[in-house]
Amino acid sequence: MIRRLTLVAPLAALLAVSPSARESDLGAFLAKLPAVSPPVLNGDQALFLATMPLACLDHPQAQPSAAPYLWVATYRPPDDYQKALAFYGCFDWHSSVNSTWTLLRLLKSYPALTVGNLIRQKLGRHLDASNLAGELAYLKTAGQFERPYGYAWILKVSAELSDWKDPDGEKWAANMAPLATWASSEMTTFLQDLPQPNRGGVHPNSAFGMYMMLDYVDLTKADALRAAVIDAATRFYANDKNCSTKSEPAGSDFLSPCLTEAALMGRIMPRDAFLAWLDTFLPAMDSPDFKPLTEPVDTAGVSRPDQLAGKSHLIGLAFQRGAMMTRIADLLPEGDLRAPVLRRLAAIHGVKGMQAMYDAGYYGSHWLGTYAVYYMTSPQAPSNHIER
Amino acid sequence: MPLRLLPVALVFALVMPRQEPEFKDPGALLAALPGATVKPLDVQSAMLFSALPLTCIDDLQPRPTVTRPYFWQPTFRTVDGYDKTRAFYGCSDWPTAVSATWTLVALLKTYPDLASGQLIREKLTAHLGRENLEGELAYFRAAGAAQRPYGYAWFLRLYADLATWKDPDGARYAENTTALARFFADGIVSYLVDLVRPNRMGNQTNSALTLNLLLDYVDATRDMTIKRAVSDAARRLFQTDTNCATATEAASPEMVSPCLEEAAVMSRVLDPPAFMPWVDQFLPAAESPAFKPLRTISFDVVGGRGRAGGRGAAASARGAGAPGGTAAPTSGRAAPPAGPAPPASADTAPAPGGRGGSQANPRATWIGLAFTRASAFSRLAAALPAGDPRIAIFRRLSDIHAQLGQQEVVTAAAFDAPWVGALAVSYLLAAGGSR
Repeated sequence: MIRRLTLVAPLAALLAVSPSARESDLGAFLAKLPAVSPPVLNGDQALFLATMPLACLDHPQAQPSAAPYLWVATYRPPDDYQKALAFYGCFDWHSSVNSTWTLLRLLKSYPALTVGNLIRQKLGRHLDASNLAGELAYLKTAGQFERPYGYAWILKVSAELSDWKDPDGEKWAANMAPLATWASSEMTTFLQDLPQPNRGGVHPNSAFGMYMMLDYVDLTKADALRAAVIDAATRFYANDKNCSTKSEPAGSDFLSPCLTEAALMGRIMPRDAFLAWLDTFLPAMDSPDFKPLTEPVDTAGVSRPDQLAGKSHLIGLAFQRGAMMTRIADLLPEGDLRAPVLRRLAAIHGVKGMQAMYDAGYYGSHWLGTYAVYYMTSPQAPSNHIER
Repeated sequence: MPLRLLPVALVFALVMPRQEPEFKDPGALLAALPGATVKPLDVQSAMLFSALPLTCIDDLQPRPTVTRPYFWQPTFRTVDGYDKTRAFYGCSDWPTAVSATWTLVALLKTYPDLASGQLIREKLTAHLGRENLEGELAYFRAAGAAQRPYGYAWFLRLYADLATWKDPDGARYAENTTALARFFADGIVSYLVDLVRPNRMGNQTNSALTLNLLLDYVDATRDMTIKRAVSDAARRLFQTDTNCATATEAASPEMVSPCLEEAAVMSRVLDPPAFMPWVDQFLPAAESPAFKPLRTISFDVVGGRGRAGGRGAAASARGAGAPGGTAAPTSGRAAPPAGPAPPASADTAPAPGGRGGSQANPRATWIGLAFTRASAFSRLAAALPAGDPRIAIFRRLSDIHAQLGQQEVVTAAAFDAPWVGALAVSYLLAAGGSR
């Protein structure tokens, strides 16, 4: 009798964690989540979202203004910067690059946008051949400046231009080509040389850089970069287990390291292998460990001026989580209950992000529009989120 | 085992990662650990440790290196009269200068007859004059979050040693530093009240590291306001933490062990009956594989950043400031304090895991880690109840790290990074008191 029981026991154990049991739990979890629809990109939203990059593109980076302790600096801008540089606005370089992407993306999706000609005028000045040649000359001497995050956005801009049938777009694509080719080759070496990934929740995060590079790789013939991304991601992440979602986010994160890694792996692994990997990587979505990812960070109480920059990150985090959750949901098989859960959570985050967009002043308005557009147009299944 | 519990046990067996203990029990680990001898602080080593801060205290913090700015092109000059209106302008960066000053004070208090004593007094008098400290206060009133919280905590620790020093010079220094200490004490309380998520990185932004420094200040001054603020913050930030990720520690240079530093703070703010179950849930067994990274240090590991992207990104030996620093106020950059978006610009390369500021020398960072770990292990051993098998292990691990640190602290890497000496002295003074 005892022997028989011990044989039955493992079966009982397996049943306790069987898919059907888990799914019914997940179904109950989904039913308890607020019924929120995702924010949808439409013409009105596009106009509103275009105003933010339009308003910052010619707003030069702030002159450093820290109180001098020992060394006092006096500053001047570079000569002829309006002709010799492209990305000097929007608070910092990568935000200027990603604001450029935002305008391109909106104009592509909504060619009849009221501010369309204004966008063309601005982009025409910033993406002129001389400006971009100046950028390339600068980057070639600038060492680690903006690697990899800013470079990934350069590639994203280039990707956006690569399939746009538009006279302006084609001209800008040609102007961007030397910069993008160079950035692609630099990122290839960067990833090959990278001994270990950065797993933090801000710019240097390796997975997010690679994730965005894949957007470029998917639309262009950058096979060397594709191979470098796949090799690096496999080397870094293939054996990862039990991502510590419970400790997300850190104080000023604007991206989710766990979700981003999962979304990236979903794009480079064969489907079956990915699904097996994902099961041991992300905790169950109804578990306490996953709970921090189910709720947008409440930043309402943060108002001290010195905390606004960090606050803007936590607002943007909502969009980044939303984008990654949507991508992961798209990668799951038909009928997998995690997909609707992730889509619902993405919607909850997205709505919160839209509500909080202006809550951090210029610290937010110089880049949060980009992340909103990125979320609503990502992954590249526009029918999900765009209404024309 | 009752049969009805068998399925539960099997579920655990299936769900829990199968991790064979590396050693069959704590005794087996202890038997396998190498012996280590820590040389206690004596007059000779006190002389050595005073030489490092004496050498750097008037060596100006480097002009921000501007290789190739993208937009704003700076020209630099020093602040007028900085030697009269500033106190901590040497030793590579502000918190290092403060910790160097603390080192001098702590050594002179312990060894009043130190041969370099008069020289130390001369330097302290030049730096800790009334006007110097008034200038510091004026600077910090306008400097937002600069040096908060790590630099604030080091200054309070310096103040604690000045305020408890029975010495005429010391009394004058204490009087001169009181106003700034009050300003920082107030600032740190509101900072801690507002702190929602701790920083868990292994550099000077680590929240537990700051809390431990503040508790050193509290131990000396009995400042109950700070004590309460630290205790509240530590409980709020750390009370529910479990299963600290020791397995991934120290993959690249870190000056502090996030797991051990947090455990050390909790050993100081929780009563023993509350601390014991907390630490049992928090730290993996010392004999488990997960704990292995905390058993020794490889000083030659340079980590990822140095190589990433190649092309001259290696840390410069000169800019050997404390790692992962808050953007130094001298850098002239308006780096937002929450650490959000300082673009990794050509003019200030980011420190490992940090947010701008001077590049850390990886070897110096490891030496610093040896001493912060030695201190934390020693605190943990002291907090455990008699008979706990971890006591002997933690003591041994403390000695192993201290010995490693002592072997390395006389090398060029440490001479270039005076903050390492401060951590060494900090450990050795505490160890001396407990022996």
